[in-house]
Amino acid sequence: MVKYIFKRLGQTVIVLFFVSVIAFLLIRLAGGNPALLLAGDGATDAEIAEIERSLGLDQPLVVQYFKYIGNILRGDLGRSTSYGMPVANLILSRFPNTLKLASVTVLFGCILAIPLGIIAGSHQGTVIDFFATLFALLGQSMANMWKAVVFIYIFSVWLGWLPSIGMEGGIKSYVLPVMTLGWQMSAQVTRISRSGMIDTLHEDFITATYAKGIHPLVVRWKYAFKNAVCPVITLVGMRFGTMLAGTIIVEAIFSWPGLGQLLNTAVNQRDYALVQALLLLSGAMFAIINFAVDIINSLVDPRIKLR
Amino acid sequence: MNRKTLLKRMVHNPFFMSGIIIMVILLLILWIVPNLIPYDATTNSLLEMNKAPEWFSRGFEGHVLGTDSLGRDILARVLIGGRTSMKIGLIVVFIEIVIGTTMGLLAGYFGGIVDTVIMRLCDIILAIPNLILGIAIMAVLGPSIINLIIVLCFTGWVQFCKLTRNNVIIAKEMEYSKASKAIGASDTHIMFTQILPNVTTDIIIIASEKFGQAILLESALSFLNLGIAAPAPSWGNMISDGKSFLMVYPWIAMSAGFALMFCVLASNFIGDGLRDVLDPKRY
Amino acid sequence: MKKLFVFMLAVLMAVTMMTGCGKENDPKEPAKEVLNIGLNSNIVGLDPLNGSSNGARAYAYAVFEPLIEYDHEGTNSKYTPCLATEWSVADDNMTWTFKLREGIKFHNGEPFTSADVVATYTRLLNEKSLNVRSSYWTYLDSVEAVDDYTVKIKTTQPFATTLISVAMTPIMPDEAMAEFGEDFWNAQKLYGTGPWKFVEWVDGAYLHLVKNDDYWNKSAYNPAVKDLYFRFLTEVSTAITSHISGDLDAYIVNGGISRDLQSMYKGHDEIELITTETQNWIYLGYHCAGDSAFADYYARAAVDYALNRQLICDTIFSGDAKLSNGVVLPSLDGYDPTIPAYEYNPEKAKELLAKSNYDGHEITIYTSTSLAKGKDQILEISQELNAVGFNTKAEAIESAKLTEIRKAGNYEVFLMNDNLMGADLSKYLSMKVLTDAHKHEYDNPEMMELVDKILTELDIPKRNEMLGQFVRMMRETSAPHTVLYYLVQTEAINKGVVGIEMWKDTMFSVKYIDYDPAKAK
Repeated sequence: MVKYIFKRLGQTVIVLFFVSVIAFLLIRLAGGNPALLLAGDGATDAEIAEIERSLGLDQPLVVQYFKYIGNILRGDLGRSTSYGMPVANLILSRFPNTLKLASVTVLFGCILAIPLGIIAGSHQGTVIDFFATLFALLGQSMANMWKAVVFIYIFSVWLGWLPSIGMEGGIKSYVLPVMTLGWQMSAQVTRISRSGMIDTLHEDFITATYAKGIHPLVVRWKYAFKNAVCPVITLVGMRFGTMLAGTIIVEAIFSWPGLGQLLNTAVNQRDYALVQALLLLSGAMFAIINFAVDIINSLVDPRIKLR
Repeated sequence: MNRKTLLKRMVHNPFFMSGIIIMVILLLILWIVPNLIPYDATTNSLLEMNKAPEWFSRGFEGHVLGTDSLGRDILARVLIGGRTSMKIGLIVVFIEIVIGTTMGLLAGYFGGIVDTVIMRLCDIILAIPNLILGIAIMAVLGPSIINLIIVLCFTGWVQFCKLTRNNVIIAKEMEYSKASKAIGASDTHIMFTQILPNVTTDIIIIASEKFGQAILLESALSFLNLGIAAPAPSWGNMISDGKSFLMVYPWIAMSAGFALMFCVLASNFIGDGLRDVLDPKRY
Repeated sequence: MKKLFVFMLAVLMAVTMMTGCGKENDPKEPAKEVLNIGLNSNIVGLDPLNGSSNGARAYAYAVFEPLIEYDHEGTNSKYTPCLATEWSVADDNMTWTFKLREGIKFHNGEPFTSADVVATYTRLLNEKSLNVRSSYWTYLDSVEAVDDYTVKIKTTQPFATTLISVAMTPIMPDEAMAEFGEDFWNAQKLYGTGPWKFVEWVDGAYLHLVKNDDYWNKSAYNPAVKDLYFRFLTEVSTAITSHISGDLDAYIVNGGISRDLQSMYKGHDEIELITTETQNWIYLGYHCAGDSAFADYYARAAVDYALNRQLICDTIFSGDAKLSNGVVLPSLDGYDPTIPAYEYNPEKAKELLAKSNYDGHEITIYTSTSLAKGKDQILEISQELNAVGFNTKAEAIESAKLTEIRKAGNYEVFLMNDNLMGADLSKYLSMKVLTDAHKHEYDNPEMMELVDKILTELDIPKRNEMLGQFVRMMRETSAPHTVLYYLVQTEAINKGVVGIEMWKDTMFSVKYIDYDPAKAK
């Protein structure tokens, strides 16, 4: 176990190293000079050069990169050029909003989709199965951007039931963004748990449990599901990780003050420090969640060995 | 499973059949109807702007689905945009399969350092939000359809790669590949003649779903002005342009949104149907 | 498995409680002591001297105050005392003396003296990238305290609109600035002298101000409103649905709410649509040197005749755009109505183009994706130009990219807007013509000389005459810009909300906002 954790840690560090290099290069490759954006249209070349110097952009890329990595290792994420304040403050103020949206979405998705998948999988070929699959496929077939505006049109404008923007309206303001993101997610979860159930229900040990006279419901919901749950956990983890990086489109349409909108601003303003920090954060989230998923899977299903 | 039972299963699977039917109808519409419409998809006529759908009150002479903010016929745009979306989806999936399976075969068959490098590469790619990759790649390479395809392929091959790799590892342990090795068959020979056929079922299933996902991702990129560049239409940029006016001119975003939904739905139907049809356990 | 579900339920409840607690300090109470103003852009950064959006400036001028205030009418402006009681200019037209008001305190209790003015203006001298400096103070030379309540501000040359620049410069407290440094805004310790005190800014969500009960000018302005929120709602159509349902008291969109979306307010009589003819104009900027097709006068002149401006105003803008005969718009000082309007004449455009040495290469018309309706405009312009024989394509790019290619002069033509901050052309003339910030590389010494004279002329009638001359010269040469139209801006403000000023230069002020129940009826 200890060996495993160290191995994973090592792999995570390698992934994060490459993510940091890619983040560093990507935003610089994207063109558009941050010093120019800061200086404004009227600035002279000398003034722009001065700002470049103060941001350290006049140095060779390698030097810039190692300075940036050095600062990060010392816990300094740098200073956002567009906001004129430390990157850490900005991320800390927005991360809870993204975390809340992602957690509620994942919970909503699982509570809805897992039972649906189990029922559909254990009643393969029936009407229930048909509708569960239809629901799942529909959710996967619509663009989030379109779903979001159509939901707003129906539930905010037409019916007037729900607020369409911000997160000030308490639980109500979660409904539409969560529906938009959650339907897509629960669609995938339903399908995975359904096919997992179908596969397990055909295995010999299930036939054996039936033979022992255990109630079919217990067989399905306890024994079979336990064997089908690992891919579900993996998928949910992946989706959770992606959502924690912020969801640009849904956040923009619902004016949700999360990391996705921050990233969008940062890219538009060529705010190097902020973009780099956000990408690194998303890489770290991804690694942590992958790690957690592996641990949980090995606890749930002893057949899986941590390697 | 012989061909006859396979065909029978296909016909009896409601999702597979409706997927195929929707897709065929869609393809027919996309390639026949534009010839009947007297409007060009990219020519503005400002005096006609934001007209509500006339449906078939004047046949194809009228604006069947209305017009957009520059007076362009929406039906023409949905159809021409649909052709582009379909083509992009197909090309993207094809490239993803080629790259993904090759990488997966390499990783799974050779294992060791090759496997580690390829798998870490997958992790790195998955760890960066694909919209950011999109922004950067489009900014570096400039906006064009080919670059858009590169962006779409960039992350998509990972799933094929992981799938192939896992299947190869299982297949490698099976008797027939060990036997082949024993009689002295070469690595490439074993990979392509014995292992690859075993994973094709899964690849076909995922490919049919990935087709839809490529179209969805194009629409997401359009939100950031990184999709198909104007004036050429695509479902993504039509939804993106129309979404601000959904409350007042709903037909702009609705037409493209529904077209996209049916297309992706059909591809998902086919994928899901195939999963059931090709899996012996499901019958 | 049961445990898993119990766990999930517990987490769900925890999250519900986490999200539910927003309810307690819900600011939307029925009594109008709280006003919610929606803005369509986030306020990014709180430095009052570096506000880069109209929302950021509106906040800065509510919390901080300049030495004098003015009514945003350009050179016709009436100036009113604020932190300064009187002012005068020396005979050299470069040295301005301000007498400061005594007995004013900043929100942290620090007294207001000349040291604060010196500290603020010293920042402008030292930090060249500050927005207020680059927009208004390129000619600032020095600032000096004569005594505790007198300051002298010097410019490097006579500058016609110095008082506008003074009115656009909010004064910050020197001791707090020295004590906190960047934490002045990073830690949100923003102390001004204004009628509104800063409470809190939550990035991407809102900015909260509270009434200053100790405001020095309470006798003139003592609002019933106690709390003022700016809420950042970026997606315009969804924000309007929220406004209609009563969550906002005003919604102010940069560039205005487009005519299409205004119809959403139909049937909501409690909300009034306020229309302002702005000084926000759209123009084509040419690169006038090298291989550019528009280095040739005839090609530029052909564009002037090829474009159906009126059609674009009537359709793409649904009437929310109007024609002008040049860069001095009808609402600006110096407008000359005798200059003829632009003419739409494709035949003449073809003739002119035939005279040019345009070789038929493909010209890209750029615009920024952030310009409202920018993509629609260039698509139509491209089509109209192609109809007279040009070979053009339209490309909307990120504003960061546009800024870069403009700085490098790496374009042939772009479409952008320009708005006058301060209702005067000085900034435009100095930046976009004289110092050629966008690298038009238009070589016309006569024009540059004229612009230089306009900028330093303090005699208003003389200046206005020269402005007319400048417009004629621009029309004759069609360079470096051709003005297409200027925009009419519409914002939605609830009846009863008074004191939100919408100015022609697209800026707005909430400094003197209040709620008058009598007007709500």
